[in-house]
Formats: sequence, structure tokens, C-alpha cells
Amino acid sequence: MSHPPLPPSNNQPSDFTLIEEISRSILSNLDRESLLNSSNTLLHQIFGFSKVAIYTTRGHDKTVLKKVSVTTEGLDPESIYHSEDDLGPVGWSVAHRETVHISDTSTDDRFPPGAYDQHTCSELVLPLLHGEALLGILDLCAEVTAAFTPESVVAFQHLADTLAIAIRNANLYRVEQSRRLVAERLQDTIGAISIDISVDEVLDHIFDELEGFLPWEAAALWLVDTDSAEAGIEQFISSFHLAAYRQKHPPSSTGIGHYVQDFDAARQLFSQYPWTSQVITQKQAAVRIESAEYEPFGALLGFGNRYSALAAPLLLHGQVLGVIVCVDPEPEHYDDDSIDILEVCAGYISNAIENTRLYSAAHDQAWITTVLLQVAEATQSITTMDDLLETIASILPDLIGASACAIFLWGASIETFYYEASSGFDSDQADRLQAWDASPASNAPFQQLLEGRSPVILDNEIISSEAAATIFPGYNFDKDVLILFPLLGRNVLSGAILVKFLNSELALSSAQEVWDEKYSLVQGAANQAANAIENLQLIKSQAEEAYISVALLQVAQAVVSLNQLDEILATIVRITPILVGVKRCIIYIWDGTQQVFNQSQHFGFSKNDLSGFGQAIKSSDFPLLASIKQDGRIIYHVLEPLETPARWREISSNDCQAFSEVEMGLDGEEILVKLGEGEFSGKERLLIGFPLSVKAETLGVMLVEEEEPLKGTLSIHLREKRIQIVKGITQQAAIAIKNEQLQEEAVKSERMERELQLAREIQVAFLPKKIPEIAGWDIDVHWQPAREVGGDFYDILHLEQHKIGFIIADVADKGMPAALFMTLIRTLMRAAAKDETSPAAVLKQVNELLIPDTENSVFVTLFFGVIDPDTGTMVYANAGHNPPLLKRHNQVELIELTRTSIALGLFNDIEVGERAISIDAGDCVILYTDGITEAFSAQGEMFGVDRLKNLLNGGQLTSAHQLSSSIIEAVQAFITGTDLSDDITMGVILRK
Amino acid sequence: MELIVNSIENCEVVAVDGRIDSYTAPQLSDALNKITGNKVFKIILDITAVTYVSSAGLRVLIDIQKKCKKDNQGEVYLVGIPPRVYETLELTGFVPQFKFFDDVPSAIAAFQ
Repeated sequence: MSHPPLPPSNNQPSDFTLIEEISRSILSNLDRESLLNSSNTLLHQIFGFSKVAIYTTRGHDKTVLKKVSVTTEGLDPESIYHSEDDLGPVGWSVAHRETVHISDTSTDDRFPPGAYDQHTCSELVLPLLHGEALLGILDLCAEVTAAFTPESVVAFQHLADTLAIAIRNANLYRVEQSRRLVAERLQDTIGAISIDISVDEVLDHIFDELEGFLPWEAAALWLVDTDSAEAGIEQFISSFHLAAYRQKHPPSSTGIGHYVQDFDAARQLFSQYPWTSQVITQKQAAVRIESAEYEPFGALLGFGNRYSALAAPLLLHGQVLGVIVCVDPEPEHYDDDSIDILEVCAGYISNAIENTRLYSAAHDQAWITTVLLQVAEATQSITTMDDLLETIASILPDLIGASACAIFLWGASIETFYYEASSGFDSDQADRLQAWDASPASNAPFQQLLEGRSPVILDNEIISSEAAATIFPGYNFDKDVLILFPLLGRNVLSGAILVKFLNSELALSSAQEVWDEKYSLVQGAANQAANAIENLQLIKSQAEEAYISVALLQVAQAVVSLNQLDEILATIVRITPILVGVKRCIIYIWDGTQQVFNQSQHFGFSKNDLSGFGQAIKSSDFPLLASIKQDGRIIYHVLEPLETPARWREISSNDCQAFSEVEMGLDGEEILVKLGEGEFSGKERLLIGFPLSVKAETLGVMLVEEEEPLKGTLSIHLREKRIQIVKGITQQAAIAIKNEQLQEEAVKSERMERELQLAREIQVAFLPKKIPEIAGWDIDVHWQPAREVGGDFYDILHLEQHKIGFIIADVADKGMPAALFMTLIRTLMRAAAKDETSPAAVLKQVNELLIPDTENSVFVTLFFGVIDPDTGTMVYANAGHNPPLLKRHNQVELIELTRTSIALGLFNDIEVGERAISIDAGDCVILYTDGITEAFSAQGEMFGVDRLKNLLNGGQLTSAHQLSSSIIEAVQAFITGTDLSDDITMGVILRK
Repeated sequence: MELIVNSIENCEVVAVDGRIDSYTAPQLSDALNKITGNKVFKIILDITAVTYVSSAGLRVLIDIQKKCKKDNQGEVYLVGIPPRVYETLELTGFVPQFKFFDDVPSAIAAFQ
């Protein structure tokens, strides 16, 4: 008798469960370095990978990545990795942003032989993507082949998604930290500089502060001659001169200082060591990597090839003003943090330099300087935009000798100017100015201002007669002089100031040069005002950035700290309205099996609001959800004033629109959300639907209803920010849903595996532990279970008068029900065989007892033979079982022990017959189940009775075991390449 | 396995193609139970194109036959049974449970 080992069962925690634990532990880690190291270490330890590496993109260059890895030898030092030089799977994954799974590195021919580490036999490379942006690569190497099952690949992909979110959160946090650091220290310095005059002193201050932020041995500031800014790039680069330079540990005889004075020598130096010029041409900060070109100071100071340099452009109105460079002899001295810091610094420096230049330009005219100083002083301590604009409007007329002024700000996202403040106009006129449509598309003076960025005089030519009549009634443009000045700040046009001069003032100053002076005075004041406005906007947007980071981190925290999906989503729908100020929020989860949306958590709805909604909603019953799911895009619907949630289901997809531009920034940069132009005036209340998507799969939808009608342009800005935040939130919600789904699948497959295991255990427990030894007889049974219990069973009974009962049976069912049914039949058979001596009577009795227990027509085919070992007589009954074969020692023809009854368990009161045969010395009986005859080959051919019969005809019969083994081997060979789909049972009874 | 279900006269004709084994049996079972669920108990099962019926398949046939014959509401007729499938029915003793027809029209006629 032989029982092969049972198929392996999976009682360890699944990959998914382990990965879920890792995900949880990394999501809340905001420190990038420790996040990467702990992820590596956990993966290495828990899964025993020979190597785990995480590559992260640095700065703007997506081909140079930073690599941290753990191998069996321990933590590897951080290193720089160039994806363009790598022909292996990691390089491929960087370029294509797709997963690469290599099951066996020795046979996979997609990559050159040298592409793998020496001991790596299988490898999984996963891109870390956040939206469209590549944040890095996760590389898992194993020392065995086929270490990754299709299920584990899915699980690791999920981990990669989680890791990408964690890295992004850490990036957000980092950027926020460095912004805050720089802002705190530089704001005061720059503020003080604004009333300073000397550029040199400004630069000196900046170097002082820079020492606090970044490590460097030398720092330099190159500035371009503004005159050549319009020239070609070659000439442009050669026009750089060294404006300032500082070295921490200057040797006694440094010859570098003379380059500051000698412009020509400095220019030549700049061209000779051109590394810095890429920063200027690309207008992006850069870190020098090992063995790159030199820049001037690395060369002058004699640094080795591996020295570090960091450079950021100074940008003003999109033009390069200069470049700031830090160098240090140590390799790998600067990282992403350094880039962030230097970029923020560069922004402040550009501002300071421009301010200083403005002051210098006006320096000759003391009284203009006084005006500018007054504007600067008046605006310096103001912290709200309204106060600032009011202040500027009220002081400006007096300062510049005008009778009235009005300030309009430029709303870039809706492409219009809008009135903000005024002084000197009577309240009716102020109201009229406020009502004036200042959109350049329909307002000629503003259009000219936008295009020319220079003052526009309002006269009868440019002002339409309609506008003259409605906005400026009673004005005479020949006498009343109205001029529109642009508010030009550091980088952009931030608005316009309408200034009204009295005719009498003009009469006094009709000379051209007085006019010129007045122009430059007003323009200077306007610039100063614009700077103040921009500073405030910058501070505001920094506060908003910080707010977004904090909001997303709060959601991340909730996702990590809660276990149940319902709790996570409930927290998300509660947090969202608080974070972004919306009225209602609801989540629907898509059920792909049932093809319905299930209403999940919601906030802000009354019972009546949702009473019309069932728990499960078909796509066709809620077109809004259907189109969001179909397109995977953020969609909005303009709500009527009284449109209640109960009517949302009636919104047709024609009444919805996708936002025309919703983009994700790269690597922790802010997400750009630009609402389409003219799609709505911005005053309507929107119902906004967000897809909850992971990769391209939409798992659900979140609907957000805005609170009150929105006002003005700042509200549009708010809406953009709101969408940006909610988009971030929905990504986390989607990950949580995906988590849950993967976990459910893992639990389900674990449960099924447990059930399979249990069914097999039951089956094994009820089979005879050993075959009895009977003098004069040789008996062997081979039983082999399929992965899922197939319902085969056999039994050997010791009956009265030393008779032996043989049972072989097959229950027409699988799995646990088959196993349980089998135990029932075994019990009934054993009980009936005790009372009855006739096999037919036993089967008839068992059938009657089975009927009440059979459901859905489960039946059993069963052969019961009773042998008298002494005489060799076998009396048998066969209830629809595959006929056992009797092979006579002296006869080629096989005798089939055919059916004497219908299968058991189906019909009452059946007729059961029995027959008797004699088994002589050398004869044998072969019993089997349909697992033998209905075994299918890989080609789909059935083994069949004939093959079995042929096997019995060949060769000399030496033992029962030899015969059963040879048959089993033949069947195994026949089914090679397929899975065993049914149990196989084979018994041989040989009379010696 | 493929299934085509047609209503002809007062009976449902189900044509089956392929193997009826433990993987496909649930699909056949669902289709047949849907018919009896609609109170139609005269079913013609055209199994001309069936290549193999496992014990799970037999179970479906017996089960639906018992349902149809209950209270003399109807019956399942088998059309075009291949010899190999007939052997399987013979082996288990299920042959007497069914009436066999060579083609669908004669089975329909027998129902009238």
C-alpha cells in the first residue's frame, strides 16, 4: 500500500499579509532616509531576498537615481546610479516605467547576461509611480528561480504603490521643511536689504545666511550683464561675470579674488569650465555628479574629480539673472534637500538683486527714493492682502500727486483683471469701477496693458463710447487724465493701477521731462507695490502648500492607523469637508462581480437625501458615476440652486464635464490644477466627482458637493487648491480600497486552502491505516488524492467467519461535501455489513439510509465484494461502479464484474442483485475508480478501459504491488503535463 | 462547453457542445435550473456534440430529471447520445431513467 505525500498546503501567512504589515509600517515614516532603509531591511528580512534595492530619482533628472540597498552582507552605502548606462531590467524599468519579472535569469534572454548580480536567479523590478511621475524603482533579487508567483507579483506591485505614496509624502514633508527653514532665515535679511543700496552688501548677507543652510567650501554668485540678456545663448553664457565669491578656509595667498574685478578673466574662466552653463540653459538647479565636467571653482581650488557642486539659476520674469554655485571637495555632498534649499534661496536672491537694482536706478532722484521708501515701509508689516491693497491705494495718490487711484489684480487662471481697492473716487464711481468688466478679451485698455506691459492712457480712442458712458459718466477724457499702469512684480504681471490726474496738475507739468519723471515715479511705486503683493502671495501660497502637505499627511495617518476599510473611508469622508470646506462627501465602491456601485461612507447627507438610493446601484441608474468610472477623470456638474442629492442620479452624462487640465507635478512638486477657461464663471456651485483609481483601474468614485456659491477670483484659486487636495486624498482612499480587495482575496484563498486541507485530512482519517495480512492472499491498494478531494474511498472489513469485505467507491462530488458524504457511507456500510451477510442486502439497506441525506442528487458508485479466503469464493454487488476486472491465471480474456444495481443515494426501493465468482490460485481482481480510466492526457485524450486491459494482459504477474505500481506509472506517464483532476484509487487482490 | 437554449413548442431545447465535467457541470446546472425555475419541465437535451460526461455531469442529468419528473410535471429527453456517453449511463445504471431520441423533432413530437 502506498500513500504519496499530500499536496503541500499553505498555512503560513500569505505574501499579501506580510506585505500589508510592511506597508503599514512604512506609510507613516516621513523621514526619507529612514523610510528607504527600513523598507529595504524589512523586505530583506521577511522575504529573505538576497538583495533589495530602492532607487530614487533626484531633482529634475530622471535618469540619475540614488540607490540604497541591502544584501546578505548588510546595508550597502548609498550610491549614484545612471539608468542610461544600465542595459539590465532596472534601466529598462526606468525608461519604460513598467514592471519587469524575471523568473529565471539563466533562461530569460531579454537582457544581456551581465545584467544580473552574480547570485540572482530571479528578479522583480517595480517602478514606483505616483500618478504619471516616476519616483523611483524597487528591485527585489532572489537566489532561487521562480521566487515570485503571479499572486506575489500583484502583492509586490501593491507594495510599490504604497511605497511611492510614502516617498511622495516624505518628499512633500521635506520640501515643506526646507521652505520653512529658508523662509524663516532669509525673509528678515531680504526685508532689511530692500532699503539697502549696495548690491555687494546684499550678496555678503546672502553668503552669511547660506552658510547656515548648506555645507560648502566655496560659494560664488555669477551675474549676467543685463544688456546681453536678449543675445544668443553662446554670447549669453560668455557674458557672465563673477559678482561675489566666498571661501570658508581661504589659504593665505588666494589668487581667486582678482576674478571679481577682472570681468574678462572671469568670463574666460566660466567658458573654460562649463558645467554651470547647463543650469543656465535648462533654467533648473543641478547637482554635479562624480566625473562630470568641472566648474570654475572646483578647478581653481584643485578639487579631485569626485568633488561636489550644486548650482541654481537666479530667475526673474523667466529670464536668467545669474547663477549661484556651491562647491565642496567631498563627493556626494549634495542631495535633493540641498537642491530645494538652494532653489528657494535663489528665488529670494533674485528678488533682492532686482529690488536693489530698482533702488539704484532711482537713486539719483532723492524724492523718488523717498516715495519708494514710503511704499516699502508702509507695506512691510502688513500681513493680509486686503490691508495691503487698501494701504497702497490710500497712500499712492498723495505720494505721486494724483487725485485718485484704483487697484485691479490679475487672475491668471480666469484671465481677467478684477477690482480690489481704490481711493479718491466717490463711492458711486468706485462701484462703477467694480462693475467694470476688466477682462482683456472685452476691454481694450486692459488688453493693451496686458500685451504691452506699459502704461496705457485712457482716451476716446481706446475707451469705447459705451464704457465711457456707463463706467465714466461725466468724464471728459481731454481734461481728466486717466492712466493705467501695470503692476509688474518679480516674476509676473500681478495687476494694474488706474491713476487719475487732475488736469490742473498736468497743466503745470506739461513739459515732457516732467511727464517722464512722473511716469517713472508712478511706475516705480507700482513696482514696489507689486513686489509687496507678490511677497504676500508667495507667503500665502507657501502657507497653502504647507496646508496641503499637512492635509495629505493627516489622511495618510488615518489610512495607516485604522484597520477596517469602513473606518478608513469614514475618516476620509469626515476629514475632507473639514480640510477643504465642502458641504457633502460620499464614496461609492465599484463591485466588479455584481457590476454595481455600492454606497459606502458619506458625510453631510440627511436620511432623505439618500433614501432614493439603494445600497447597490447599477451604472445605468447613476450616469454620473458611470461616466467617472468609464473615463477615470475628474468630472464636475454645475448644480442648480435647489438641486438636492436625491436628484443626483438623474444627472445625465451630457450635463457633466471633465476639467480641462488636471495635472500631477513631478516628484513632490505641487500638483497643477488649472480649471478650464470660460467653462463656468466660477460663481456656480459644483458637484465634483473623483475617480478612486489605482493605476488604470477605477475602484470607486468620491462625490464632493461644494458649499456656497463661490465669489471672485480668489475663490477660483481656492477651488483649484481644493481639487488638488481632494485628488491627493482620493489616491489614498483608492489604495485603501485596493488593499482591502487584495486582503479579501488572500483571506478567501487561505480559507479555501484550509478547507481543502481539512477535507483531505478527513478522507485520509477514514481510510484503512494498513492492509490486513491474509494467508494465501496478496493485497495492495494505491490511493492518490487530487488537490481537491475527489470523493474516492476504499475500505477493508473483517466479517464473520473470517470473511473479508472489500469496498471501493466514488462519491459524485468534490471537496468537503464529498469527504463528509464518504464518512457517512463508510459508517453505514460497516453497520449494515455486521447485520447482513448478503452484499446485495447490505447495499440495499445503505441506499435506503442514504436517501434522506442526499441533496442535489449526490450519488455514490460502490463495489462491495465479500471473499472467503479459504475457498476463494467472492460474492459481490456492484452499484454502478466501474466494473472490477477478474484476470484468470489461465485465461487471456478478462472478466468484468459488472453492475448489479443502479448507483446509490438517488432512488428508493431499488433492485440490487449479487453474483458469486471463484478466485483461484494465480487469479487476481483489479478494482479501480474512474480516476484511472477517465484520466486525460495533455492532448485531451482519455486513458480509457482498453488501455487498462492491455496493461493487464502483458507480462508475468509477480505481486499485487508490482501490478498496481505498473498501472499507476502508466497513468502518470499518460497524464504528464496536466494536473491530477480526480482522485486515483487502484486495488489489486491476488490469490497466491 | 457551450450551451444554446431554444424554446420550441412547449418545451425548452438545450443543445450542449463539449465536455460536461466538474468544471462545466455547474454552468449546465444553472441553465437547466433556470428553465425549471420558469416552470418549464419539458426539456430536450441535445447532447449530440458532447464528448465526455463525468460523474459530476451525470449528477446534473439525474438531478434535473428528478425535478422534471416530480409530480408528473414533465421529463428530460436526451437527443443524439454519443455511444461513449451512453456507456457511462449504462455503467452507473442510469439508462432506465431516460428516454432517448435520435433527433430534436422526434423528441418534440413525443412531448405533444
